[in-house]
Amino acid sequence: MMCACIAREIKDGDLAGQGISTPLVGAAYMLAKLTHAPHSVISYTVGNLLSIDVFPLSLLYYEESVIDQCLRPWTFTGVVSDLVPFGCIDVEAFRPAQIDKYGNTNNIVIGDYQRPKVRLPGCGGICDATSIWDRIYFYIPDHNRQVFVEKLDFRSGLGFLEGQNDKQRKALGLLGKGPLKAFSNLGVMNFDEETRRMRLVSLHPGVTLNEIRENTGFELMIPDKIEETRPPSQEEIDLLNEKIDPYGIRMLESLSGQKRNQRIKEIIEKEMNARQKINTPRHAHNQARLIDFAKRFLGQ
Amino acid sequence: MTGKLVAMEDAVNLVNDGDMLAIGGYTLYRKPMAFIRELVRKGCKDMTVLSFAASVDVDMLIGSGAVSAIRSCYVGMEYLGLAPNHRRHVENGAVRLIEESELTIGVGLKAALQRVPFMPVKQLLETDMLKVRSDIRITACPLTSQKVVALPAIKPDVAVIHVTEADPFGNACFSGNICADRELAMVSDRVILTAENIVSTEQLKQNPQPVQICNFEVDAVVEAPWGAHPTSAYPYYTFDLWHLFDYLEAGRSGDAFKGYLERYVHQCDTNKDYLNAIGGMAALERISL
Repeated sequence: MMCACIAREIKDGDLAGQGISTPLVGAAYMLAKLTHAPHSVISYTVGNLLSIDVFPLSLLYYEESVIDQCLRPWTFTGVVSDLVPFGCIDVEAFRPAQIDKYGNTNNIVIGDYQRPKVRLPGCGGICDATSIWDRIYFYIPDHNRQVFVEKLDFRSGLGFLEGQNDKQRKALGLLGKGPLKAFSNLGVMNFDEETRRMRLVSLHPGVTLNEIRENTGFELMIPDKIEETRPPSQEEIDLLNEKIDPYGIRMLESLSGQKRNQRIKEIIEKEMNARQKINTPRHAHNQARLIDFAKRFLGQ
Repeated sequence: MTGKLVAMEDAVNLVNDGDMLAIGGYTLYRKPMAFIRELVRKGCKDMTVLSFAASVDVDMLIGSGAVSAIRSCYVGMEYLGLAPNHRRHVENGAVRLIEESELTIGVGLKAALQRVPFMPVKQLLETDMLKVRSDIRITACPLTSQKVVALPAIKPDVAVIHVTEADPFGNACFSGNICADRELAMVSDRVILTAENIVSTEQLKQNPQPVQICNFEVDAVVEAPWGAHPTSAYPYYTFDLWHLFDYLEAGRSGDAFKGYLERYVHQCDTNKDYLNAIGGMAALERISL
């Protein structure tokens, strides 16, 4: 559902950015490419490459797929100090660890900064992009009060600051317009044009208003008319399951701990078995290198 | 044809206690792991590690007690979750984290290349990044009075970069995932390359990929086949998720991690010992591309 929602936001011709370990977003961009946005370009963090192709998501061979299909290579420094600040990237969907009612986000720590309860990986480029780009989306695979919080433990991504219409962002000279929407496993939210507070747009089929309210740590604005989110069509589901993500890698974003590890182990076994049937020149070259190496160094 | 080709145990002597060590590669891709294991064996202390996006590289150094400060915008194991030693040592205050974003590192390196003390950017205003980085300041543009953020230059003492092909003089190729390695090689005082293959300069020129790092930037070259394991080295092998699961399991406690280091680092004097310890041919075949 989140994947289809993100895909629908991509416009034909967009340059869409994908961050570290966000397979759901990669799947969404490719779904957009296969449906209404065939000319969109994807900027991958893996390799800092721009690509226009659609290829299946992979855990073991993602780097190889991205590099092999690359349209234009870049470097990390080039992307972050040229491409990102200049605003070349049109759109990106980020996954916050915490988000507040004005769409400010945190990917740094849970708890006190000096002695955190949980130290998270870091903000990557979220703080750099959120003040510059015009089309920022969020996705939250597990909608709960630990993610949707009244007060952030650290502000590493900019939303609408303390609300107040857009005056504050403009006064600071921020170039971007602020976040547009947030997609969770329960519903779709946007930001009220006046107060810039997070407002419910639609509930996913089967989700009640009470459920989303109880799982949100701040008061969500409720519109007069709540729509039901349009579920993915059969065509979208088929494209995802057959062409884009046959192993269900995007679902890993909704799992954690042992369940996720178990799923990863199953997927990599499948990927490796499927791989052994392929015989490319690279595979043959690397096998020869391996055997030569084993003779020379490993004594095997 | 010797040039700058040295043994691993000599190359680590270019790293001193207290240095800012820049590590090439990106998360689980092309990390100079054989070099990092040698650093752990040597027992470095009080290092500041700079890694654009870090994973097992920085995590292993932290777990071995070599690190006092981290400069990185991401330390994690991608979809495998959080980096265990990093998490534990930052949460209990044993390691200081110099909070970075992609921009603060990228622009910091550019400033160092220009030999200016800072470079201005439009981002980071109103984020808490400014509260935890007293060395990043808001200032007024001298030309337009616009509010800008001044990011300090970053100049590492020593950089270590894993490449796929290098000649003995320090010219090197690697393809696809370039990361920030070209800038790190230019800006760092000392530069060490570890290479999958040592080739002649002629062979290097015939490589379809251009030379990414040039000999004048490099101080030492070390032959290290499979030297990025358990991270990847495109186009030869992908990362070893099977081994990384064992690493994560061991990282859950300090004692278990000591056991990991004993088994895979201290008891493996050579790269050959290590490659046999991780499962020899079968393990290498599994990750071969």
